[in-house]
Amino acid sequence: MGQTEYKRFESIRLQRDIIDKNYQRAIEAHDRGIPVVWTASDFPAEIIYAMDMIPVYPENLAVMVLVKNELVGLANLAEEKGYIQDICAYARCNLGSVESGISPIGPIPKPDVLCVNTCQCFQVMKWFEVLSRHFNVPYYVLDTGFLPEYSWDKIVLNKDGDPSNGRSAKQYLKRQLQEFVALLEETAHRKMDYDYLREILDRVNRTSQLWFEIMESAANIPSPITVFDLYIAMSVIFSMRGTQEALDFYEKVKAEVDERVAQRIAAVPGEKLRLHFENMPLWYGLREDRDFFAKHGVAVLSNEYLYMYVKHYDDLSDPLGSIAAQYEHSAQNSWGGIARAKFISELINRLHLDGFIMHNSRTCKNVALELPHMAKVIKEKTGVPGLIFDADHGDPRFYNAEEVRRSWEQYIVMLSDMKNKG
Amino acid sequence: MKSAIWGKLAEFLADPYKRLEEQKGTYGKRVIGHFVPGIPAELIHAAGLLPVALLGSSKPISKADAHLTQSTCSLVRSNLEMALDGHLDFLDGVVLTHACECTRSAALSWYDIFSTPFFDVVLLPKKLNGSPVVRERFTEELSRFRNSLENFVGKKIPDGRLKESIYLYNQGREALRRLYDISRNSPQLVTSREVFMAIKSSMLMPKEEHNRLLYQLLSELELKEAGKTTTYKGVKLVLDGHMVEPLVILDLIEEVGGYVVGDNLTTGSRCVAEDIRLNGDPLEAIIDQHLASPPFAGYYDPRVDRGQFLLELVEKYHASGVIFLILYQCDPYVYDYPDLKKALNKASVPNLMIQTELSTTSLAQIRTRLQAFIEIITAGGVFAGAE
Repeated sequence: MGQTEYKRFESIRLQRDIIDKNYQRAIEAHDRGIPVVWTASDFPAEIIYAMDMIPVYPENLAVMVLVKNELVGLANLAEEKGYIQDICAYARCNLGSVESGISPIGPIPKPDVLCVNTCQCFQVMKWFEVLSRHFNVPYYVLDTGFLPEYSWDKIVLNKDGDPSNGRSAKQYLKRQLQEFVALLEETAHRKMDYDYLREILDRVNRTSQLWFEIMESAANIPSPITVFDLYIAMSVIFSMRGTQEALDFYEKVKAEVDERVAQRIAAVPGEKLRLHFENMPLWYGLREDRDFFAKHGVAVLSNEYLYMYVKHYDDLSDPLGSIAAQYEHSAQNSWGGIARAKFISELINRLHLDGFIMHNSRTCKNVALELPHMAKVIKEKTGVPGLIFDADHGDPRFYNAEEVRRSWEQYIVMLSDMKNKG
Repeated sequence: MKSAIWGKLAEFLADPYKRLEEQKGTYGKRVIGHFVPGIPAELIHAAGLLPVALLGSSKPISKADAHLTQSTCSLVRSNLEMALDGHLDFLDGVVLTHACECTRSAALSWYDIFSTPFFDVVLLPKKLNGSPVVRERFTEELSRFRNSLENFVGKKIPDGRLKESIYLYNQGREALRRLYDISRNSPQLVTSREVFMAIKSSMLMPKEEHNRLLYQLLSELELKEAGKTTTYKGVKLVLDGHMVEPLVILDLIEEVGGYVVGDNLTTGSRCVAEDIRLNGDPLEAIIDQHLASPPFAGYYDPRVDRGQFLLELVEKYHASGVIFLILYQCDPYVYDYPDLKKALNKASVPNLMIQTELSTTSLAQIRTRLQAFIEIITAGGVFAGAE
């Protein structure tokens, strides 16, 4: 097999510095007496930024630990306390760190406020509940309520993938957001500046649009980008959406994408197969997996998880109402299996994909539990067969590399045969 | 001499959905299966329907794997398995809930796989924090559910009708509390297993029939109990968790010298502890009961310190230890367990955690651990539930 070298993005390398600086700002803010808010990925952090606070993401910190392959020590500490292996690897990583005071990635400022959104998953609600007892600080649960649509025919996905739905939680959400703003105002002894919030939301709209276009550039044949670039690039929109740095970053990435498209530069030279990957990546094996797929001429082009960070705030005259309207249906998780299956089916068509690999992450129940049913539905609707493999997004003890690679190889051979036979 | 009613209940519980299917014609009602917890059976009953909790079975699970991964708890997988096996074909409708990741996931594929005439998912707030915002959401969602039932049966559920159902269910709860009290005082008259059989069957059988059986049972028992003081020497225990399954675990507890005096299980005290008041708006009364019920790990409930709650149960019923029964993959309970264990250890209350599964629980191993636990309690030691 010819040497196929993966083509990395120069602009995406900037991510590390941006994240480090933001994190440093959180530490400095804490030192200046500005309250620290710990939150999780699908909480509307725009509100936190608008209060001039910097959100800290235990999930992000967990990924940093995972990438350094240092989870097991922390997870063991959590497991000794009784947090058995059934629960999220991120949570065990964080709880192990919090309980022991050990942090392989440097000091983390303690939280003054905790908040999560239930549309992300229910485990995160319980995880932060444990933290709220540990730190004895206010904890806000934004209860999105999960508003799934159950019928394939009734699900209508707009271009960004947001489904419409018969049920509404908009007022419930908006009133909760008002409660949350009041909590932050009380904690920080200052008022929310709604004009500043509007400015942030507007920047999120522009950043989201760029992020969406960057992801969708994968429709080009060959594709200029793969999920392995996007997983890294994602960290900025994940934790810093609404900041000027985030907007600038995605403009640079978009420019590099455009240049590649104009010159028909492939992320995977000699691209032969194009795949969707479902659920979080194996953070502890990111580079190996990227090189594995590149070696086989396989471009992994989409992951539903990445679309979670496309946000649109339509009515800036009513910022909290806009956030409520967006979050009511925004998290892919909250749509449920059938809408997710439909979304993946549409990606298969839109990005000209040959197949899909689904990661049954043992401890990420929310995204994984329905995968077998989703795979069946996608196959029925598109004719494209999928592969489900067992591992874990964070805990390498549930990952048998040899077995997983073998199943990927077999799947790639099968898809190639199908493609060759036309 | 044990009452013949226990035989009836045991026979029913051996295959409850089969029995319900066989007797459906005699009930003359359409049957609605519902997940637990959080679905107010009173509303379904008031619509002229027969509510039946979906509590899984002990049969091995295989077909469900084609839809849900094995990280789903056995309760949810077993319910799906029963449906895929056709054992729930007699249902005219299902009501699901988003109490946790597992029930939520089941709800989503369920609709796609089956086509019962009635399908609903009740999305109750995940937080019970006393905020008026949350309260309103409860009202909104239960009104929507009431409406959905009304559309299905083609007629309104008048408040008066709903109150009649509430009254009937309150009677059932009160009878079960009396039964539980008898067992606490005289476990030789009513065993822990029998208490939980009575509660479990109350979630499955038509309420009118179940109440009749309970009344008959109670009148027999109260005659026997009259004037007796207990001489039973067993070790008093409190159970915490979602459910006690399989019920044979209660036999094991008895075999090694323990009995249950209190619990916070969904298939236990959580469904009998609080009545629904009959005055005022019945929907609001249902919400009040939901909010006043013993804490469930799947909700964020800052009003209640679950550790303190358990310690109060221990104190109230003079229990000597607590057993956590955690279903494999039941993550809400896993997140709570370490802090609860800590609270109990701090108060020197011996405690033990046992993981269970509906279909393949290893009983020999559980028996050994229970025996060691009871021995340590009787020897006066503090057992720091190592797990």
